[in-house]
Amino acid sequence: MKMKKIVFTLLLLFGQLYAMERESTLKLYHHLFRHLFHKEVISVYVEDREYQKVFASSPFIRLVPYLKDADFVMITSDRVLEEVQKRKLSSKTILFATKYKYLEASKRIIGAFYWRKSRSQYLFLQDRLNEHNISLPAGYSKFILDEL
Amino acid sequence: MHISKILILFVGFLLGSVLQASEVERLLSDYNYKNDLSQKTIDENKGHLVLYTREKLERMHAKTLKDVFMTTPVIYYHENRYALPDPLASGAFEPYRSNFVRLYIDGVEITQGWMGSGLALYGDMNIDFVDHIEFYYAVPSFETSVEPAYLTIFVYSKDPKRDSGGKLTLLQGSRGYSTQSISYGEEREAYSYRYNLSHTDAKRTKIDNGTDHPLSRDFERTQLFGYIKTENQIAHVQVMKKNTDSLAGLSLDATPLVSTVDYLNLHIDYGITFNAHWHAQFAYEWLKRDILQFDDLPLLYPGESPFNRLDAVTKNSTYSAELTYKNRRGRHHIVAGLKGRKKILDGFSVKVGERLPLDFSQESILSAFFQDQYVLSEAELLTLGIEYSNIYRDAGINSDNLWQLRLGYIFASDTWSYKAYIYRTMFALDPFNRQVSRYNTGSVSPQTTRGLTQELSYMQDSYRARVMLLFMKDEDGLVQNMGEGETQYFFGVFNYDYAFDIDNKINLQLYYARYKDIGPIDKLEDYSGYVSFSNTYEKFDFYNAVVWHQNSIDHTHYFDVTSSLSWNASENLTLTLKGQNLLDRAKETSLFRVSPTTGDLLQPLSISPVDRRVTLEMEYTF
Repeated sequence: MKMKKIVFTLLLLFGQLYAMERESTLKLYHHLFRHLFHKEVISVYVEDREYQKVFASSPFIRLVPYLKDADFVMITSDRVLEEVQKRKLSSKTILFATKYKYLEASKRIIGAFYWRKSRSQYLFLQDRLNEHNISLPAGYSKFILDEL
Repeated sequence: MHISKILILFVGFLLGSVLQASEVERLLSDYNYKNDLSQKTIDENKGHLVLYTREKLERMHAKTLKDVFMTTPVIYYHENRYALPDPLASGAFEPYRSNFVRLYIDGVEITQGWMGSGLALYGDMNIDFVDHIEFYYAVPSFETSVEPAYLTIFVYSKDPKRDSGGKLTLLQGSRGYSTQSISYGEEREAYSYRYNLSHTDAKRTKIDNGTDHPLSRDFERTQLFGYIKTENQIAHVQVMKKNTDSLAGLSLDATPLVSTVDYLNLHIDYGITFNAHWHAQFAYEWLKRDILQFDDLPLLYPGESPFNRLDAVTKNSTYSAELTYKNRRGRHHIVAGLKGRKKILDGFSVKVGERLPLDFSQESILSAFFQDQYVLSEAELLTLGIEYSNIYRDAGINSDNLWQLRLGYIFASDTWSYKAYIYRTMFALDPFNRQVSRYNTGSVSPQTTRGLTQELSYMQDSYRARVMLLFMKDEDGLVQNMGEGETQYFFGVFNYDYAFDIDNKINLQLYYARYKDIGPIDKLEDYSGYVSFSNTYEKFDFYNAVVWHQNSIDHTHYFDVTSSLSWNASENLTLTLKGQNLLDRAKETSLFRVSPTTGDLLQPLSISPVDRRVTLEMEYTF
């Protein structure tokens, strides 16, 4: 049985509050990637350091330093959103956001995973999925909206 | 009968609304739970944890720390005769009782200096800025405590990483109760910041005292919280202005003609992490109290000659500093540090009345601690802590030398966990009690408390169960009992949380306490229970909860029923209708009274700190 890492508790940093839990985050994204892509290793562009740390530990994710090389771009800041809007990315590149407002800002973004009212929110837009010929399984239907 | 019907309805609704969770929902549920628990603030070695996650606070629609306190075992929520949050208040004439409970915001203690615990003013603060709250039972790890405590409350503010942008909250309640609150947080490249400004005009139920002047505990509070932080530095500022009607105040028979105390508090702190080993923290706090008490008979006061009017202003400052060192050597994780605190009574000016009899104005505390956490195996930890504190006071009052010892064992697997602590701790009388109680002007021995605590928990994907047992015994108790024996306490807490799916959850808590030789009572037993249902159906959130209390003194069953219904009208707008203490049967405690003329005990007043109230709230995020 895999033991809880008490050692983790001992490595507490002074005063640091926010930390993303690696295992559950990866499970969630691995599950999504399996249904978005038909390849074993996904190239992901993400600027956020917390996400970088989490994704770096996955054998199925390769972090890339340039937007043009990514299969999946995570829009985690206004700056990345601006970059994405300025550049001409491949139509195969999938854009995904970590804030609701980015979904409103760009119609190229297929969905978002974000916090609202202290609960994580998963959201996809049907017409944007259709544009990418993406068909998510029934388990996602609760999280797919026709429009914003 | 009403309660059982309501419970049946709730359970029926709950079961009816349960859906078969999909794999995606299970992954999300797991993500939510583990990310709530992965906050790096949670430290297994701080004690026995009762956690209010961000999601739970949101579902409870907890707007103040008081809303949370009402469901916390062992202490729950009480107010004293000055209408201040004082969970350990006995209803007698002590100035403040809850000095054993300490409050921290983002790891920095909020201390009201002369008053002792930060709960006095912040115990019912607005918590719109709060991410989650951790209650640690048993003597805490010495890393965090400048002064001894056996319950520590850690409130952590929201991080712009998760909660960027703003939120406006407008709340209107029955009897004219209203709150307005605005928050904003943002993460920039090099720093992040958050602020929250709130205003509450609390119109509360009056307490009939048999005169034409019923007791009032209305208050008006304006509160500012803000921080700015970088990777390794953080600075907070907090200001609270609270004008209160102070219930019975200094009136011995609880029939004041005027009873008000206005508070103005400032707290600032700064913390810096130099590297992986060294951390320093500084805090300053200032508190001003404007006191106006007037009765037709002599007031409760330690002065030489009786008088019936007090119009005074007090000011005090508290300076705190700490330096902490952490390191790992093989299986040892060592933490050591030095902490200092100085409490100064800056002024006590009396316009009408009499000065305090004790010329006491400074208290200094210097503490040194050492703690080793030894990793026995990947799942087992042994912890040993020792702390020495010297408390020096001016005006020739005795100094105190306090020793704290703590030994603990922790086991944790994916499903089971077990914790046990044995400790010996010492508490000194706080300055406020020393100054305003005529019985404490001389030398007062520190209290020694010995304790043994244990906790066993089991968790699976959908449920978690936990049993917590605490036993404590006092020697030289600061709160003297009337009998010959030393006060002994036993507490047992059972928690069971079950998640039907991501939207439907139930929380159950049972609590039993047995006290021996406490105050004038030889034996006291206290029972309570708490059950809550949280449900989401499409755009609606439901929260229904009952807190039940009973004790061996009056055998009365008290029920505090809370219900809320939220409509998430859009991504940015939520409307909530909430009712608290709907049956008007929440727990009541006695407020003791004495005749100022004869000294005879009068019939105590029975008062609930929880008002029956219905509120309508609008939340708008931007």
